[in-house]
Amino acid sequence: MLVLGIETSCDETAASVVRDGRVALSDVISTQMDIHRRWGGVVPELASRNHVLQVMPVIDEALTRAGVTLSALDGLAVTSGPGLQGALLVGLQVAKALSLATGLPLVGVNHLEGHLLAIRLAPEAPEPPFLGLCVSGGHTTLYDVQAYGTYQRLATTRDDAAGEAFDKVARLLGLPYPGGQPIDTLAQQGDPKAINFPRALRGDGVLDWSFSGLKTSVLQHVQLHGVPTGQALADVCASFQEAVADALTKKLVLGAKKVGAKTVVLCGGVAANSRLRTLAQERGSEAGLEVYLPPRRLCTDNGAMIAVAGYEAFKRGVPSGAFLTADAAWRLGGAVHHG
Amino acid sequence: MTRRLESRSVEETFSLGERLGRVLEPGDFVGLDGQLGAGKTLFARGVASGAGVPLDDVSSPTYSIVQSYAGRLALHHADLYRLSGEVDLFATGYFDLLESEGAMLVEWVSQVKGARPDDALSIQLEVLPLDARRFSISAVGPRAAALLSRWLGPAPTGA
Repeated sequence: MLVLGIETSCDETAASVVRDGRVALSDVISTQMDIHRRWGGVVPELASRNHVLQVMPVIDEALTRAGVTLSALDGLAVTSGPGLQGALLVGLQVAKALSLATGLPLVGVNHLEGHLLAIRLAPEAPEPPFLGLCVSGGHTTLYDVQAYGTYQRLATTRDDAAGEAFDKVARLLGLPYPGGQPIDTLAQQGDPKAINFPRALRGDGVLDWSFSGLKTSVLQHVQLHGVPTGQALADVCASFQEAVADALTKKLVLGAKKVGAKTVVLCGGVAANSRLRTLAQERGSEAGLEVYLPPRRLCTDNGAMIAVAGYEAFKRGVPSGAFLTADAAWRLGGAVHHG
Repeated sequence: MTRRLESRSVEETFSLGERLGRVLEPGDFVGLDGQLGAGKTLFARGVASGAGVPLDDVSSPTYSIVQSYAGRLALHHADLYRLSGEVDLFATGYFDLLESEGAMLVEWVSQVKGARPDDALSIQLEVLPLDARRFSISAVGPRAAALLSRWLGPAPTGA
């Protein structure tokens, strides 16, 4: 079964053809990062306008690279939330038009469900049930993936998302946007124990995170000592990154114990962070967990993960949604709704 | 007229927000400003909690830009940190929310010209040593003035 996945929820215009929910025949991403870098973040109006320009060429390219035409497909999947309303609507309208023109069934996919299932595209991939830690600029949430389509939200951030903390700390340190990669690179040369930044774990049984206090601590450090350079900068980066990775992995293991999970999966842009990957692997193994880390290219937003979630939705009989609408605030967890 | 307050702790900042949330009414607008780490989201969580929103629902809207909560009243929590102008803000549906039922709570409100309506309560947070914060609060318009006095009592005489 061939599914075309379309993703326009944030700053990437992406499309991919995936076979049987396992193998990406193509995976095309047109990033708007260069446009947004100038602004220090995603700009909704620019994002929507650029999705309009990119979406058809990206879909064409995805079909070409997969060596198929629309008539060879079995279904269409599109991100219908959460995300920026204007951006979501671009992908959604194109998907609906394609569905109408070709008669192909169409399902709306939750962006986070896509991230959670991205691991299915890796050669070694678990089946549910597993625990999924979604960490990105907009999300830091732990899900119990009980079955395809059945997700339980176990924990989330009380303030900043982990990726947001990376971006804001990068800004405090005068590093470029997005902040994940520059901090990761500098941290390689730094001492993670140089500064003891707070982990804000708030009690033993608490699964939720808080990264705002950590950001404030970095701010206070910068106010006290000035914006660091050289080794001092590397040390701040390493210590900050350590605090984030420590908090994320401790709660991941704790969550797994709480629900009796045997398998954990990392996903989202921050899952590309090298320290988080190492620590998750270490602590997971110590706790007797099987840890799956998606290849870095599957961590960022992509169309293939949307096609995987779409394939699974078709397989369990989710009906085609001719009246799909964008739901910018669609929260995954509890019942998954498909329009 | 600007009223000034100081909070000495995280708890006090939260509880100041909570007291504001309890007296919030549909149509009220609260704008927050202050540098990264000044405590805007912490204060906003207090406001949401006071307005009867389950805290589980409340986080930083930096990436989502606007989050709407259902509490004792509808509360729209926005963050303009990443926006650069009114056109952007328009694309998020912000101006529709301003016209809607419900109260608005907007972080980094001064980031975008035109984001603050004519009648607005504005709160500037400033970082003092440790967890202390200074609040500079000003009300423009009758609705904001009423909100301010429900929140902190009538203006001190002679001020």
